[in-house]
Amino acid sequence: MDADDETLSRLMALAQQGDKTAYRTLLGECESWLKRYYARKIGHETLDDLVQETLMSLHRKRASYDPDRAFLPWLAAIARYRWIDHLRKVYRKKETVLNEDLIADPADPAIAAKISLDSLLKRIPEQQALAIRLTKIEGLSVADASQRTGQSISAVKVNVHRGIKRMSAAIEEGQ
Amino acid sequence: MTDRPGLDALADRLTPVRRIHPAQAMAAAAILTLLGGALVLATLGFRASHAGTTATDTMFLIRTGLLIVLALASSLAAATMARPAVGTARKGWLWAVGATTIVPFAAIIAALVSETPVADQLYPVNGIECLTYSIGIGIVIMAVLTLWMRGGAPVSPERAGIVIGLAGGSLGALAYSMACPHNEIIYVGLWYTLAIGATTLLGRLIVPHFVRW
Repeated sequence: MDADDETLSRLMALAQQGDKTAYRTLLGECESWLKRYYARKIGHETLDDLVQETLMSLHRKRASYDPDRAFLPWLAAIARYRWIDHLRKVYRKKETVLNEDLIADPADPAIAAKISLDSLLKRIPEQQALAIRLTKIEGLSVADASQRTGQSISAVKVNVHRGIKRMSAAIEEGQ
Repeated sequence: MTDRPGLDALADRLTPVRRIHPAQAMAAAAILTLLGGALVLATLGFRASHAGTTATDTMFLIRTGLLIVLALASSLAAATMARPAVGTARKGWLWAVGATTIVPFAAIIAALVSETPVADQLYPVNGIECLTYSIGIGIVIMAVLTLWMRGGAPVSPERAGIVIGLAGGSLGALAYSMACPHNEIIYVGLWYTLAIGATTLLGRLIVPHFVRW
């Protein structure tokens, strides 16, 4: 993240008033941040689409941001919502290549840890998180995930379903 | 996303927006409750006009207080859900629900130990009237809150549906309570719980379809 939260908040406040220059700067910053935010939590081939979808959501829901509050927790809530929506929709195509080179390098690690996708995954039981990682993030088939984890095929499916549901209910919960 | 013109196009489409604020939803809910209360009073009259009831009966005061707490907590939860943020704790409405569930529990216990037949304390004609007014007014409030919520970004549409249903039901019941002549815990525990339960179920089932984004 190049700009700090205070700067992003100010840019968003200007964008809400219709300042296109401020908004364009904000979108660029958010695009970079989102790429790092989703790093290793989504396949390389769908990363751009998810970032694009999240920016579209930011655009459509920009009236819901309150400039008196921090910007990144708001953006992270939208990003988590879109990510979980993506996990629900994604079906296996091929094993996924993850962006190992994209590592979150936030200006404030404490805030980043609180709003990260890892902190969301840690809120669900380990078996559910593992099933989601393998089938929805790494792109393994349910059968392959079953072999890898020792869970039955139906247990993998149930764990994925329940894990996504639990994460969906915990989107706004921090670390 | 390396498609920089995509960002340019998005920025070009920017128009000023009016920020969504919880006070808008709270004010709308309050106004609709007052209108609902006025409708109840105009059609049924105030409870003190019924024989044997007054505006200072203990049950009326407790019931009104509990409904106000539940309505405030659930309306506030609904209103703030429109502006999401990671790290936001929104548990107050759960405590309010917990506190108000004492009423149906107390009603069950009262029914079990009552020397008067329970059927004589249910007053189904008034009960149906309670459901009709409470749910009817509640649905109007729910519709307005849902419409308002569509401008926001609730990240848990299901939970938003539940709190909107709770808010609508408790505010509808609060409006009807002004005319309700009954002080019996069994009556209140049954009909008020049914009314609020119905709107909450309705909210959970229907509202998510309208606020999902």
